[in-house]
Amino acid sequence: MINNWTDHFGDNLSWSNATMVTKGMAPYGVVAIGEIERIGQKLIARGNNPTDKDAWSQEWCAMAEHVAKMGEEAETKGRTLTAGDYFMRAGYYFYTAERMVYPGESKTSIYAKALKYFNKGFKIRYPKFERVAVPYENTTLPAYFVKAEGVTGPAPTVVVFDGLDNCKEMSSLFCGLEFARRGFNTLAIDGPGQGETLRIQKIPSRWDYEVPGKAAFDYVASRKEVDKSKVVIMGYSFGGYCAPRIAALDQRYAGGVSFGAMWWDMHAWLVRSQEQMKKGSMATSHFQIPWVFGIPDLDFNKAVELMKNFTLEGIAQQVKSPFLVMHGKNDRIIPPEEAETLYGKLGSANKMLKIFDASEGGAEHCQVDDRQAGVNWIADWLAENVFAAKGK
Amino acid sequence: MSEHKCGNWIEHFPGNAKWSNAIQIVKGMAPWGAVSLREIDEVAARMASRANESDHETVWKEEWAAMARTVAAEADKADAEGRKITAGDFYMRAGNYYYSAERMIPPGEERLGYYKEAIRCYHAAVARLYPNVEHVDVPYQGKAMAAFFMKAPGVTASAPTVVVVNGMDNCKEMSVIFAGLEFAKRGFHTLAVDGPGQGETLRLRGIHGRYDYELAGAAAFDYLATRPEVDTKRIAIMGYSFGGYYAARIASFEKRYAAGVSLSAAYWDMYNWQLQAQKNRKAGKPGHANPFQWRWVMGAKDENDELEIAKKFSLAAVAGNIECPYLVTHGQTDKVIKAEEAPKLFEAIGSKNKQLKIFTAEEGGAEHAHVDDRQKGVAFAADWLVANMK
Repeated sequence: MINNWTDHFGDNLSWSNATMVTKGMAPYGVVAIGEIERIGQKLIARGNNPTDKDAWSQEWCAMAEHVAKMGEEAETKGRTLTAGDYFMRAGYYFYTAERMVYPGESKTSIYAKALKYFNKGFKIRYPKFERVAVPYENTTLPAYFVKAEGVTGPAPTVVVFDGLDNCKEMSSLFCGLEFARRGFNTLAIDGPGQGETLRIQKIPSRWDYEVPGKAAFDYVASRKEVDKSKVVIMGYSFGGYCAPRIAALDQRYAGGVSFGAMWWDMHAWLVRSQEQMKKGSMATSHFQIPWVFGIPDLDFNKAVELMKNFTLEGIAQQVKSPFLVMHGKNDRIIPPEEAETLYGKLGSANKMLKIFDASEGGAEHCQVDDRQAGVNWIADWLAENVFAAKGK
Repeated sequence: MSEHKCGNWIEHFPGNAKWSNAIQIVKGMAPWGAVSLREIDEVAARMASRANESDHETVWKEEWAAMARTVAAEADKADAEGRKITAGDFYMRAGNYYYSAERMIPPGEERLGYYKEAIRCYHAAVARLYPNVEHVDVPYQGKAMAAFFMKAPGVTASAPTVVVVNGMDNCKEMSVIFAGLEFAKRGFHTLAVDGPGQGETLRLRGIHGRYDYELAGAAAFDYLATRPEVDTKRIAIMGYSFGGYYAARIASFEKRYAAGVSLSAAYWDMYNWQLQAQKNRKAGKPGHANPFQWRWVMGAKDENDELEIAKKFSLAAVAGNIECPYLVTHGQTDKVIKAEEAPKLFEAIGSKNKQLKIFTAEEGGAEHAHVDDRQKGVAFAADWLVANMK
């Protein structure tokens, strides 16, 4: 059995990648590697077949139910903090189970469980995290506001948008906890097409992501804890497209970070994806992109058409604020050349491209294999280039 | 990345109990962000590629030391650049890797060199990441034991406190994190002690282990009694792994402790355990432990002395004296100390209020001292203390 950290299911990239995303939460004590491995063993016993989406969702749900039950037992006995640990685990396992399920009632009900346990777990284990509703068009976007530690006055703040398959319950920990320790606030937000916003509110993604970007700025600017002159926009994975777009078109942001660049030519990417799908070698489920972009019949051809709007050409050049592009040299989802292209196009006088190679670690997609190293790097760069206001 | 064939979380190197057990201890620190599983995986891949070499102890040392040096260099660089928190994270990893590298080296200058690197990194990490942790000296027999005192944040009045002693190969730099942080959430302070025969106290201060650990237990209590933060009516003694013996011994004699926890029991019959270990060594059957470990930790002169010392490590006549609430936990599939040892200790304990908790494979935490899911074991102990240390 090949069963290592980054390639849990060998050549089965779809399952390995999805498992890595969940394992990436290990440094924050919110998932248990022993449990994840027990799931993995069952999945391998069931054939390690990426098209067997039932196997995937059944095994992750079974473990999620198991730990949720342990959490509820602990809660009944008044062992609240212990219950909190189990609820967090249940949340991530349900969320992982949901990932491969075709959009519909079953998917929604699994997500509802993920959200239920996330909410219970966060309330117990992270009582200082504030669940907020960010006004957006005629509705709101759900987010966690994580306050800087030990800061009295207004503090620098980072707005974090997710990628295609992630959620604020991940970024509020892997960014929020680290940034708080550095004295920064974090707004970890499920934007259009992301997490709870897509799944519960049915709000799909959009190419003009500056609209939610502006909404997020307006929101944080209304909070007394926030230093409006030091608000940074950051996105990870697919959010690596959103962040430069927002930085270019809402220049109130003092800086930006693409924590993983996105494909420069998104249209060409989807054309290729269509080909790969026929061969079954995609990391992402075939429905994911049409679903995230709100195509009613999940017709991939329409997604390919729509994707022509998703471009940073002529936009990235307008970015003026300090901007950091991070990428993993061994990223199997989006190759590092894409990061170089984005970096080259950015208009900022102060811009930085940081590629993590295999020898230093964090060489995978969005540094998921060593998320701490990636986020630490970002936090230091922000402190030195944006928040220190040297020469500004 | 790496394409090595390996085992699983619990048995990383199938058929190699010594490496598997030792690497699990390092992996067990993952939930606190104190190690990087990617780096561990890389070390393991390199070791696996050298598994055909005859000297496994050297392979172990070299690969961990190589990773430790790389990460320590990153830490030093970050620190020099003023990136203190990033440096702290790297120092913590490097500390754990150096400590792991040191594990299989026979006592002597080389081993001490690695330990000094470990302690440099560990202490640099604690200073940068955990400002609420103090490195303290606990007066003991005219010398001092090295310890960390972690204050529960936001506690103003005097608070309950847990004294944690290690096992044969662990150290306060692990327990202050995996137990201290969780206890702090419950409003408990933690004194993580390198007792006689443990960590810094053995390596840098030359103080060996002893059967009558109540002397160390009393010293820890006396120390805590001098601190205004501590509620002396509510101090618990806890030991993990081999410390499961020490905690029970202390609770038998030092009645000022309000509760006790053996976070896994040790062997009930230590004499036979050591006798068997000697026989296995002669038969060329390596176990989990280093062949030199017992002699070194206890300061034994020779084989005969090893056995004489082991004879004194018996709770048979003393565990009945324990009166405080007492918890014994164990993992059902513990490969280092079999689960059947735990009921022996549990039965012998004199307390009216006592509990035996065996973690099954189904619920997780079933390995030695719950190292496979340490959070689970420690959370259980913490909840039990909240409910039973009144």
